[in-house]
Amino acid sequence: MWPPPGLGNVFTMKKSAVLLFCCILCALATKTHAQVVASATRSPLSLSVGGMGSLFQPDYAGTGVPAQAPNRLYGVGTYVDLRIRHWVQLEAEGRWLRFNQYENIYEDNYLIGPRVPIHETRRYKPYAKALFGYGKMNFQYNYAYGHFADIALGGGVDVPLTRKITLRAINFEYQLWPNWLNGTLKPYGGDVGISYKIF
Amino acid sequence: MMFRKISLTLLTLVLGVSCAYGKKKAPKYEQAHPLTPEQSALVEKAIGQEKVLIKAIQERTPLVETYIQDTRPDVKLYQIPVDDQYTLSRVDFGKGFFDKTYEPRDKSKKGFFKGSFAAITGLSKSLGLDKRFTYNPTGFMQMMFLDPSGFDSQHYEFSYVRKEFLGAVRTWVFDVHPKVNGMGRFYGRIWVEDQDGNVVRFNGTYTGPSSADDSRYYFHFDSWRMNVQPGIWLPVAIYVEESNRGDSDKPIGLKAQTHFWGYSLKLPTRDSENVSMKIEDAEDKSDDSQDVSPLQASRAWLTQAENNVIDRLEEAGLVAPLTPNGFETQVLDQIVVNLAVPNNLALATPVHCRVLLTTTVEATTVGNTILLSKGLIDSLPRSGAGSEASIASVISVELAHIAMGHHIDTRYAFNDRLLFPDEATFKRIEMNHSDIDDATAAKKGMEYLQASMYKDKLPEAGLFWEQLADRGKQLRALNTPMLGDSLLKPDGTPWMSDLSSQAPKINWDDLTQIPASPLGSWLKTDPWDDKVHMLNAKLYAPLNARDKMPLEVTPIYFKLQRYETAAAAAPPPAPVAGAAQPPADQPATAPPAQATPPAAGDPAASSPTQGVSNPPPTNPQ
Repeated sequence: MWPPPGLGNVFTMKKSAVLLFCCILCALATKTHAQVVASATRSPLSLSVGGMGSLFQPDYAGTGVPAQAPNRLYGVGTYVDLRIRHWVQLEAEGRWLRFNQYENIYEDNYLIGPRVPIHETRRYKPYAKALFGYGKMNFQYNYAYGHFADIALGGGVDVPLTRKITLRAINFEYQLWPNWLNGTLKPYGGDVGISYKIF
Repeated sequence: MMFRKISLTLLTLVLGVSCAYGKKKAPKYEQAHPLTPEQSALVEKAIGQEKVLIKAIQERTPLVETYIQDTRPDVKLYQIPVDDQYTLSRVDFGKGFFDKTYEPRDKSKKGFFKGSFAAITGLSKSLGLDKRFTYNPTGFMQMMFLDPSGFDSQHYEFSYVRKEFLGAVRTWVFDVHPKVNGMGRFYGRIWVEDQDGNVVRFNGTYTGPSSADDSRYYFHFDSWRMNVQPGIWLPVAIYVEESNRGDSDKPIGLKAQTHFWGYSLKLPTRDSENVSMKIEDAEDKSDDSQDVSPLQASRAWLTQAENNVIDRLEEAGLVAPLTPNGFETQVLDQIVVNLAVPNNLALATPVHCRVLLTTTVEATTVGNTILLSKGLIDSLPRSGAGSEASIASVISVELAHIAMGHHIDTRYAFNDRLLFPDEATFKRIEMNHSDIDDATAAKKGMEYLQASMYKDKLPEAGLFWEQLADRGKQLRALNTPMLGDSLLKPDGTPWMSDLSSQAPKINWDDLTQIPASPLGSWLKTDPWDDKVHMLNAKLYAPLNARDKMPLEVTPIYFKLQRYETAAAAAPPPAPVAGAAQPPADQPATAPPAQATPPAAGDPAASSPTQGVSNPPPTNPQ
């Protein structure tokens, strides 16, 4: 029997990866074609640092299993956007959801990963991103805390206000904590922020 | 399973993005007025001719030179240059439209650390990390085309404007804009000559990226073509200008000129000076000796090296072929005589001048030939008391090099040393003198000037050197020689500092004081055969400080002529320059009233004389 049991997922993954790679190439091709070469280029490298306010559903109500919490966690965070090329961008973020706690339960996120611009205009810059890292959870009544792998899929819209300052009008993230204690924790929420372009 | 889900999510995302970009929307422009059948026919002709032109250019490998000056606003002078960049390339039309840059002379010393540093610099340059804003010479070169692969009525909308004469050529003017989205499509105005439908001028820009964050830039330009051969219109010059590049918070603008020449490069011809002749009953006892003295042999060897170098430079399109009774002989050679005679310089062979076709300000000698760059001549004052004395001050230094025996390396007498690609010319031919030679030549040159007819006008001549040193701080590329010597020392002071110290202080408000001219003030290069001709343009006195524009890039304007018209209207060759004293405000070698035309019957020199001028800076009075 081919593929052998257990390897099926790997092959499916490989096919998806190849397809994904081909699609990225196609996307790049549609973007880069120009009738004549540009007369000048600016270094596309840019670095922006920002701060944000967050509102998240922690997906844990202190029962030992993932479940909708009665409260929403509020928090603050910081993010860094590194743009190397138009299609090569990285985002790193740290988020501390420490306010409006229910039984002292809170979550922190430390994530980094690629981000892709989606049909940018001069006024609006939508994007999608996939971040990886870890989340820290403090359990009820402070009896324990733990660090867990964290994957965040999300997107948002940036609105440039000036050449240096950009408003993060909305940023939504759907997180997956696959190695959480009893099943996969799925916190989700949004942020609003503002960033300053250092260079 | 989890990774599969993630992968599929990403896939959907990428497909969505791709589709969003792939979707073509018609750009928003004003509705074009429908063309009449006559106008449509001319547009169709122009589209066809554009394809013919691209094919015609693909058969040639012209040189393309781009000189860019970055500018910043100035209260008094409107705009002043703050930086500059120079590139010389040979266009390679083999598989696409690219350029092969003439690599600059390598001055750096070798060493492990320097090599490593260069490698790191090269890496960061290729990653675009070293500099915030980088000009792309290929982008400037491609401004010779409206759209190299898609100029047709499916992709562009045409709107008739009016009829207009550009010089002697009647044109129909159309506004053009793309029907489809996409980067690098032309939008602006085109001038189509009414006989064959050639686009002779276009003025506008290319569509840029949709995102303000995009790191690519397209500038506004004015591109000109000339009727260089029967039925052939080829790109000759482009002027680029932006008052603000838009890449930073500082209002940095740019002005640039791109020139094309060398469409018909061919090997130079040199007739042998010793023609074998058999004369009956002749009794010549002295000159028919078969023996050559060691000194004679050395000189012959040196001459061979020098001839090889000049031929190679001409072949590479870097030295203008000599025009009979042209600018070189009528103006420059005469000044050489004016300096040599009073100084009793008894040189074995006569000294001649040639023009190096680069815009960089430089000069050098190859044997008894003085090479002055077009950029140097172009920036010398064209009017005023010190005009001719300024030229003489430059020539005096080169004459001193010749008199003092500062000759080039005789290794070029071996022809194999000159077998290299044209693009390597700057690296492979060393014609620059050492700093010690330059210093001694400048001192000797000063002596020549003081003993010459120019001795009373030396303060005015010194103004040019003073201005050059003043602007040299910003215009480093202009003062970086490609082949010869800079007129400035490595510390930025002029070699002829004795002369500049005699000059009065530069006074922008004194309108009679003209230390230097805008670039392109003296000469024009024939794009077909590379010969240089003196500009036949009316001179206007500056009305204010902004009109002076010393060593600055200015707009380009041509008075176009048809090839047949120009050939038929060609005046007879100008008379040979005499040694007569010139009027006080004119060069000794008063230039001909009309630019010297190509000699009749010489196929290589049969291109038309096109009227070209930099437009007067302000309202002519």
